[in-house]
Amino acid sequence: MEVLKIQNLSKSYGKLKALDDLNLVIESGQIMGLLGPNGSGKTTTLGIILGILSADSGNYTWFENKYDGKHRLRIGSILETPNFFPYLNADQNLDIVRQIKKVPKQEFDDLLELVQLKSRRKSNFRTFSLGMKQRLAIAATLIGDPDVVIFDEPTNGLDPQGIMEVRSTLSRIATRGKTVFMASHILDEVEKICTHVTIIKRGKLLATGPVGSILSKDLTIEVASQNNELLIGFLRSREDVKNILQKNGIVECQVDQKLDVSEFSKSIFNIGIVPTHFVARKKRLEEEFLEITK
Amino acid sequence: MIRLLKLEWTKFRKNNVIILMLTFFSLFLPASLYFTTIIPTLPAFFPSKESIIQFPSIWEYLGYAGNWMSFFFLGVLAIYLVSIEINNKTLRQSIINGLSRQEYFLSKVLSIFVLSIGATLFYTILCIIIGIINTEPDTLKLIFDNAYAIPRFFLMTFGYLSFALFLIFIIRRSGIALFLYIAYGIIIEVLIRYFIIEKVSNTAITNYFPLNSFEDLMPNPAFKFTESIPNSVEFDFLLTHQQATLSSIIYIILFLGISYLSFMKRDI
Ligand SMILES: Nc1ncnc2c1ncn2[C@@H]1O[C@H](COP(=O)(O)OP(=O)(O)OP(=O)(O)O)[C@@H](O)[C@H]1O
Ligand SMILES: [Mg+2]
Repeated sequence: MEVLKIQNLSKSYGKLKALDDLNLVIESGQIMGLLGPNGSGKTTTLGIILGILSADSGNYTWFENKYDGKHRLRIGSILETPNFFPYLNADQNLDIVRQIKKVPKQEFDDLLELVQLKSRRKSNFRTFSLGMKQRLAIAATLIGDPDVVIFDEPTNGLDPQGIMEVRSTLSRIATRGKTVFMASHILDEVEKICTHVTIIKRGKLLATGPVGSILSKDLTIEVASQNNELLIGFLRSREDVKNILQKNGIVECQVDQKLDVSEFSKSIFNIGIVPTHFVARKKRLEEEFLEITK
Repeated sequence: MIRLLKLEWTKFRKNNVIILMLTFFSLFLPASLYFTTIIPTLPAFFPSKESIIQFPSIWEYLGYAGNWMSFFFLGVLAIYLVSIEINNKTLRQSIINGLSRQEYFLSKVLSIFVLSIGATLFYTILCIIIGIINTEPDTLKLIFDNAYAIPRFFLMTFGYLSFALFLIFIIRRSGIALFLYIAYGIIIEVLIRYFIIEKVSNTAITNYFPLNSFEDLMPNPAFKFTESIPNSVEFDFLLTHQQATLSSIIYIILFLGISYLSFMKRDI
């Protein structure tokens, strides 16, 4: 099922075009990352599909219109910051969300367990650390067992420990079979968590598809040796080697992913070069990202 | 509707500012009456000190005290009901979580409605208790001779709170909305009316200004005595109850209607 379909969405803030004719489809079960540098329109996109911002043109459809305007009750989301009443405790704040979601009265033991806040459930929200606030918000998105969860930079502003906790919580959610839509400017995050990725820049769609297909087919090979001059000369002489460059004493180049790497290393050996460093790796999404958004 | 009120109750029953404002309202309303009775010399045209706390005039005196108390404490509270949700972004989150904008707006209107009902009940009970204690038994039959004071009190309070909601929904900055609410209520409207009377038209038209309409539902009892009205004024200084009621209802519809329309279409 098409969980979300965005068609020709545009929005400007004054003269600034924040979204420019965006199209996007999310299918049920996908973990879609919305990737883009700061200011690329991620939050604006999420704000529009969540009904708090209005688009200048274009439209979007949730769940193929099956919930008749009540679709937000089937979506759990946090946008930018965790938003709660500072003078109420975790339980009370979750109960407010529960009432809005029209979910029968319940204890939140499982949810608080999932985000490791059970022992602090009676503390006021204002006494929480940023990481705890973020985790409470994640718990709140799961109230009423929504079909879709949407996160906007869920690890923003957290320390490494907090980032780890939030990511592991997200991974646990992802394994529950929910459709996830997550905005981030951190590739690593998207690469680790998502099955699909949409890349935008200055409000324009650059690429969308499975994470694997957005990755290029090339392998990156790093070699270092006593005689890099000779090495570079040799690499240049080969037809199947591209984009040769030297960085900090390491020569980097790109080859097709089907290339036999051990053959390749042998051929270097055969001309009398002894590599002190040899690594073959898939081009990382990070480099792709920088390339695509350049 | 009950669901929305329950939601508001969950949000605010533990809120200190709200508890404080309600406490002030309930303390200062009876206290203000007490203070008027201990003023050593009332203006000569006043009938008697005792009339302040006796039927039927207590309805007017306590009503006028409530006029100020509702304007201040309940008005500030009404602004706070929305501004705290704007500042903590729980307004935004409520919509994200699935409340419709209509429902959200309705929850605030219901809140000020319930507040106004509560304030009116408190006023009524206070009048009856103080009145019964202080009125001579033979005049006790005047107990409800109050020219619809109870609905007038309600409408006045609801009017002020509608104005407060209007400001915070339109301006969305708690500081500015609060300042404008107090400043407009106390001085700005008076200055505008003064300017119009002086420079444009010395007629009763300025009586129909919004806050004056609400105020004239429960006016200062002193203005019943011509001695206390400024000489430069060449018209009836107070709206009649009917005029004030009609004008107030129109303003309430305008304030809430404009807030609603603006809230429905703006980014939040
Ligand atoms: N309320 C607003 N008024 C004016 N400009 C805005 C507003 N909100 C966003 N913008 C601008 O619109 C553009 C897109 O902003 P948006 O917040 O959607 O980006 P983002 O991808 O979420 O960025 P980040 O990674 O920093 O969160 C930015 O240039 C931003 O400055
Ligand atoms: Mg953002």
